Amino acid sequence: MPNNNNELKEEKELRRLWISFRLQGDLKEIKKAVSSIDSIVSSAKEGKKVRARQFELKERFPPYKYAIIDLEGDAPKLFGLVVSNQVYQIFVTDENYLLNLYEVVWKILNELIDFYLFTFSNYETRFLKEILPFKLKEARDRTFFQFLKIVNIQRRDFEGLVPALYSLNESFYRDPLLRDSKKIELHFKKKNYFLILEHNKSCLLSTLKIVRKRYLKLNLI
Amino acid sequence: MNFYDTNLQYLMSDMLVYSYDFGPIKEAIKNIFEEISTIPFELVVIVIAKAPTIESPLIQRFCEEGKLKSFQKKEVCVKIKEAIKGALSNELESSLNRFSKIKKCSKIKVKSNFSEFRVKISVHRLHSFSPKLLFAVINHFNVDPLGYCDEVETIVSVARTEESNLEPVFKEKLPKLPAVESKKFVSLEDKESVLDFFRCPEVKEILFSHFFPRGLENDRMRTEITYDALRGDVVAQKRRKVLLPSGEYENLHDAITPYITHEKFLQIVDINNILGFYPSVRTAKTQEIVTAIIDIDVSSFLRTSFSPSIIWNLVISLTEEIVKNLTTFLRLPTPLVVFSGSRGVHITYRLAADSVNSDFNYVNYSELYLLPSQKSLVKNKNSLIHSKFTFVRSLMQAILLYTAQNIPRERIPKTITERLGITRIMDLFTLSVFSRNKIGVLLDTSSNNSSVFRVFSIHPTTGLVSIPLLDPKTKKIRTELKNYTNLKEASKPETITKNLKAGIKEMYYQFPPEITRDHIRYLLRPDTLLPTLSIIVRFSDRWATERSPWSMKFWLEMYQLNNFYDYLIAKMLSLERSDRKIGISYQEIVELIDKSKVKTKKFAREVIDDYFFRNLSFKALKARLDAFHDLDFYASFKFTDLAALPPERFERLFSNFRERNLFFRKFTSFFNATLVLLGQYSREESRITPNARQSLELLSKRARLLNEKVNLLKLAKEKEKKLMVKKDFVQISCLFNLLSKFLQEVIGRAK
Repeated sequence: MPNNNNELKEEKELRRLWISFRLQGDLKEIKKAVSSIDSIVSSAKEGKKVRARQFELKERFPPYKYAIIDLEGDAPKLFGLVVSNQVYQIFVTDENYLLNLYEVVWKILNELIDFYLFTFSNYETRFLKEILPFKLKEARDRTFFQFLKIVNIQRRDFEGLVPALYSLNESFYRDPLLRDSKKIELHFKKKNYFLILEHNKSCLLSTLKIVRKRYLKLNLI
Repeated sequence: MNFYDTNLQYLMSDMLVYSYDFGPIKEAIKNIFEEISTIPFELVVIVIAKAPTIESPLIQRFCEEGKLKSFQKKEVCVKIKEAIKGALSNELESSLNRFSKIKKCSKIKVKSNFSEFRVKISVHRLHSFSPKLLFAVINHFNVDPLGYCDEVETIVSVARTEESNLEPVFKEKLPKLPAVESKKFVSLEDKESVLDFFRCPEVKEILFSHFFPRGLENDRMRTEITYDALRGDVVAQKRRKVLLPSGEYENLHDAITPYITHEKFLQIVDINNILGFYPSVRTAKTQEIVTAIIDIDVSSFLRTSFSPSIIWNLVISLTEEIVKNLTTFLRLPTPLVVFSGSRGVHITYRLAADSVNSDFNYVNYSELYLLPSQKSLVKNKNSLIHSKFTFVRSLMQAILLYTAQNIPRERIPKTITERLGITRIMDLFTLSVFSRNKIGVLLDTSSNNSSVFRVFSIHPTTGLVSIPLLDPKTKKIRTELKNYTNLKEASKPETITKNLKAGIKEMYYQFPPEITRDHIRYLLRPDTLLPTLSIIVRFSDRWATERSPWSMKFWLEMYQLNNFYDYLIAKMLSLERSDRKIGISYQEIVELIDKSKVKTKKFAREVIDDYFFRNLSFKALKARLDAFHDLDFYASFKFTDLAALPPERFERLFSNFRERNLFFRKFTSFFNATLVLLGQYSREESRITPNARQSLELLSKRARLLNEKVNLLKLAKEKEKKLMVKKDFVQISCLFNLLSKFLQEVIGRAK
């Protein structure tokens, strides 16, 4: 690991430039990752400190090694993930169990080390690379987080999800919070978890649309 | 801001009881022109208005009546002075300077002291002025707030020859009249004739089909309706609530339903002394926009300086041009064109229910994302991206700007162009009330901001009805209405009722046609209205008409080019090749390319054919379209940028990190452009020999390697790294010079 900060920055930029899109993977690899995430989630559910919702999407996906991530809350209380055609939403109802949630997240990220993780803001990158390593006791090897392949697919800073979809002539997935993500903390206090879950679902699915209709078209040959 | 501020505003409007008559000045000027056989060398008119003080009779009177408190006296005086100063110092001089004849001969000065206001208008070379035009310039300063002044004095002086001094010819205090007497308007005395007009059952039918058009009768889509209430001593005032026969007050749009009888309607008109109806642009409950309006208004300056028939000719030719553009260029249905009642014209469309859509506070964003300055448009919550009303308004402004640009000089009456000395026709038009041009024709679209418009009812000052101007069969302006005297006759309420009773109904039964979402999609294409709308977004409606012809041409061509390629790329991105209806979208794109004025459209067509028929990837397509855009950009706007890199600049480039990166960006764009251009040329094999092809391949290999090194060099900051890669840098700059020379020659030859 280089000591000089400048060199580290340059290396990061280099990596971003030289990123080669080795997205294509075997079906076996992807199925293996999905099954291991399944087992992690089901074991986490048994502890009753972390809750989870899981469902399948009807569409068929090409066997690409990518996942979509979305976090909800000022200190993230909900972790949304789409891998292949599986959607996972893992969350806590009590703030005291936040660390348990983060441990589950860390375990899942371990399974997705070869995957490209697409997000639609810088928040996820900042949290997963700069905050999460210092919160976890188990994660001694903090360099692991530096090598996560998180890609922000916004065209410019603070690009909205709705305009991005409308510019592709696509409709937006219905959202009970009407795209007001500032209200999530309030709904968490009022215990309206269903609303937060639905908001997260709409974010995930619309990001998926943008990945498929814009990002892959622009970057894959 | 204090507690009494709003109260004071009402008080000040009550205090405006008098106005001054500038008639004596008009006569004096006429006399000067008639009496003297030779036209005088110089004429100076000075208007002196004394500002009111605490002791002036007007303020004393209001104090005695108890309306004005003693502690408010000073405040009112200061506010009155500010109002007079603001009204007098409007930018007449800057708007007159546009017209070459007036600019050479006239000079206007406005001085405002604490106690008096002085306007000095001096005119040389009077032979280019008519007395009417001269009076129009002076009358421009007869503003309403002058009525507050205690006395207004005028001095007209003349210098006969170049050597003689100025001699005062006319020196008088102007007559003070009650404000009401000096204006004509329809008052309560004319109530019977107004009621006669509404007694005709067809009038009710026409009005109601304006209020409740077919398909929009339901309660959700009902618009607010305002009405003019007749008054005894003042002009009719706008009201929204009506007194019903039962003695209750209710909103007019709630009181009137599509099924109300004629008798009950007449009762409401009679009780409330209604003169005219104004439906709103927006719906009452859901706040949706329902109609789009263009209003053509003639400024008071033009009205006083030219006869009404000339002004009407100007208005007619302008509306004909607008209608022609709407129907042929923009493929919209023929709009409803209505006489406004005084000297203007209203052009209206009805918007279909789904035409303007605002989900998640983004209005029709799938058509608007190509506009410039997206960041500020998204931030500003009143911009056309977020507000439906602003969106429709700016769309109408774009239509008007397009017509003002392309109107032929012959269409404007010769007397106007010659007398004012117009060099640029755009000077005759303004799009905004706040524009610096105070004397042009105002192409007003502000009533789209949830405002109201008059339908088939009597104008409060002229007493004329706003009748449709188009012939229902030919869809062109009726020839007899092009004459202003005929129009006056035809729009009198008596002649209309006579016609309706005789069974001549067709021409009055005209209603605005609908615009759908597809129409709006067509309007916002790069070959139609998108470049003009981009100019309005870039410069705002206030300054868009102020561009010089060269600047306007530059920005238009620039936006045409940018919008064309951006639109093509976005359109291709949203297409799926597996889609069944892909043939239709292919045809659309081909039509768009054929219609556009972009120089490289031939290449774009070839590449798009490749994408559809030869499985070219989207990434490759985008790279090629971007390269064509760059080529066209350098060819038409920045040909000088293609110059080779001089050796003096080499050291500086190498040391400066920021400049070097800019240079590399330019290099990559050159590099891509040449590769794509060569690829396009080598399609036809006869053009390129086998030797040339080999050398091309070598060049592309070498260039690709260098391009990778450019990416490395972009990151190099430290001195050591610089020295290591100096060799590469030299090679890159050599290649850059080669590329620039090649592009220069190719583009120069194409030019």
